[in-house]
Amino acid sequence: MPVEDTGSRAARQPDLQQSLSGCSEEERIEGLALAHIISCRIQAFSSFLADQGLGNRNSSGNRPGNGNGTGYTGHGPSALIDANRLAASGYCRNQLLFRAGLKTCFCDSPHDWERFDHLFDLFWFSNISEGSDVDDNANDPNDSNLLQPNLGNDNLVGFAGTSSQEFEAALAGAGDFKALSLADFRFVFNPLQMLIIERMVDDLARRSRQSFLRRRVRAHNGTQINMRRTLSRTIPYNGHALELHYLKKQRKLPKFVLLLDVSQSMEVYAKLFLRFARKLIQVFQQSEVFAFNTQLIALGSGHSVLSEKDFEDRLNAESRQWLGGTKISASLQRFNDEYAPHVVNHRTTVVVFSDGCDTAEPEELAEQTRIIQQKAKTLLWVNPLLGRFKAGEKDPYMDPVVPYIDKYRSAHNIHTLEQLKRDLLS
Amino acid sequence: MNVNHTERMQHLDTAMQATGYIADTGLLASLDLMSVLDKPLLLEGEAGVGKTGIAQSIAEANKTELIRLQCYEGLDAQHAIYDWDYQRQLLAIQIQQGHPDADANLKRTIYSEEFLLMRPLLRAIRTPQTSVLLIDEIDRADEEFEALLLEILAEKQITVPELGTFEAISNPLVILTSNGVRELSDALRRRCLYHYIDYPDREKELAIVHARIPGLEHSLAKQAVSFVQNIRQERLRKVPGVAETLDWVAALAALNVYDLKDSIDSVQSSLPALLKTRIDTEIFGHTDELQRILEGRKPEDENAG
Repeated sequence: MPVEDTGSRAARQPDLQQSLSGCSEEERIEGLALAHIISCRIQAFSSFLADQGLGNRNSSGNRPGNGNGTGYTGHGPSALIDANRLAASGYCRNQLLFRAGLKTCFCDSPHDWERFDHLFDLFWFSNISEGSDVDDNANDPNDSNLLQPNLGNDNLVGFAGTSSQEFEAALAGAGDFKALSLADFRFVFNPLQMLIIERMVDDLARRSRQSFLRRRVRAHNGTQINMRRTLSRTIPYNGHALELHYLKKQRKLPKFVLLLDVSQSMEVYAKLFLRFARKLIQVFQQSEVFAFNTQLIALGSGHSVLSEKDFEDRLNAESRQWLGGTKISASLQRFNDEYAPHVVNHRTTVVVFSDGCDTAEPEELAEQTRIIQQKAKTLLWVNPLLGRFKAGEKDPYMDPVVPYIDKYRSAHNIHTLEQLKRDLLS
Repeated sequence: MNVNHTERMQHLDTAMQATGYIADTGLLASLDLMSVLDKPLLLEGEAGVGKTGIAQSIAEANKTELIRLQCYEGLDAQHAIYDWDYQRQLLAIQIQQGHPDADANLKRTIYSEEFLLMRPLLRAIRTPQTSVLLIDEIDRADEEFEALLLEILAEKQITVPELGTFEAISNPLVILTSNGVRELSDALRRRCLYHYIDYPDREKELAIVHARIPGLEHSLAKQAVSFVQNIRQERLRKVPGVAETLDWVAALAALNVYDLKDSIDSVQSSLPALLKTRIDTEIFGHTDELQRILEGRKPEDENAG
């Protein structure tokens, strides 16, 4: 492919009418009809991909609503136009190239890239109807299990068993984002809804950095003079320094240490918290993540960002030795002894995601919590079960611990997770 | 209909192979679509899988200039688009001092193209022949720079307040790379074609080794690639990319290794070319571990499980 100049590249932009100009009338009509059919199929494919949660997001990080309550509109118009243009340029005559071309147009993340081939095969080579929920890991499109709810990686320690619980999930408006954002994570069974929630969690973590940066922008001017810029600004004034330029303040991103409880009692929430934690350390690179059940394990820091699968694999691998009985205070003690001196300082916000259900005495947990609170800037405790206690009702596990916590929050749905984000950045 | 794309891709494939880059059909299609749809291509993948190499290879294959913009935190318009050569401007002012028409001409003279330093983005659109513009590691730049880049990619023109607007006189092939250090904005992703580069499979990696290191013994290349493929399945701190494979194979060849199993000592001593963290080297540098990986066996605890 020799590089062409702008003119010849523009001239090669696919134009169906132009391409058919040399054909007979019959061939022309046949060509236009075929192009129309292909265009409709591509549009349907785009909708199918969107139904499966694959595709672009709008600038606010959410998928745009289409007004009919299902939440998805499919890909942006530009992806659809690109797909039609590549089909018109002759790509649709070769299955391999057509697949590769559509993949390039419709994917925008490694996750999408991994799923695309399976979805392409399902749409173009089987009779899956639009709007069906499909499982990535299934190979047989005719398998009826494809359409059954699936809560994901059952092998992950602490996440199995949820599907057997019979909750009467009352989600008003299944595709409604507002309803979904208020739904407790434990009531979400539909894989598509879970996918939407996972995307929301990702966006939430990602936007937290944007919120932080916006605040920095408001006060970016420093007090030190930037000599180089100031000198360059003397040029219009014949060498007189009439305009001063100041050095920008050095940006210091907040540092988080996240301690995640992945015990059986937290299984419904732990996967989403892990996802949130992974995204958070991606955007705040100095942060660290630890998980605990009967022992404490370090899952990594922002400088060694792992893929989601690696993140879960590491947790699975490290947790093989775990036995029953959650040991929160012992885990926090190990954290205080081994890790806290290196990772916690007066700039660090420590976040503990746990319900506090410990096999040891609550006073021991309170003591370890007190030590963390003394070292850290803020200690934030997230208890997803918090909302279940009535006013005045006692929590035997957490009541002794609460005095040593700076902020005690629940994060059992997207709405409360959003509030948690604000607390983290405050 | 225009079906020249197959020929174009074959041509591109041959040209890239001549530069030592082995591309699969998917990548060739993405590169071809860059021209067909006139859009930038965003390449994402782990470090060392050959993202930057693609841009270099295309530029070399097309015998055109590669203009590279290495991104980093704090990258701004002065380093990416244009800047004024203010030292020379000061000199020009001093030279003209005392000249009767100095004041009238000064501003016009010092704010001319003569004193304009074209940075990669401006240079790419002002180069007469279509160039390849590589915006490397865009994820390391700030969000503010991303927004600036979006504007330039969309408008294909750059405005310098003192001089006016520079229209593009050529349409560069724009390739952006990202290691996933930071999430890129959706606006940027939406404006780009996307291609994810994964670690190559055994056959492709073998072809890459032969293409990049001509004259290498086939049996050694095969053993080395097999070893690398096996070690990528292990739990490593830093998974070796293609670049590390090439370095390691070159090191093995330099150490006159012909068979890995017969030269465990040499393999051990050359391992730093492949594994880039102390912990990985310590764990997998043991003779037993090397032997196990060479034979493609799983760790004993996994076998037991």
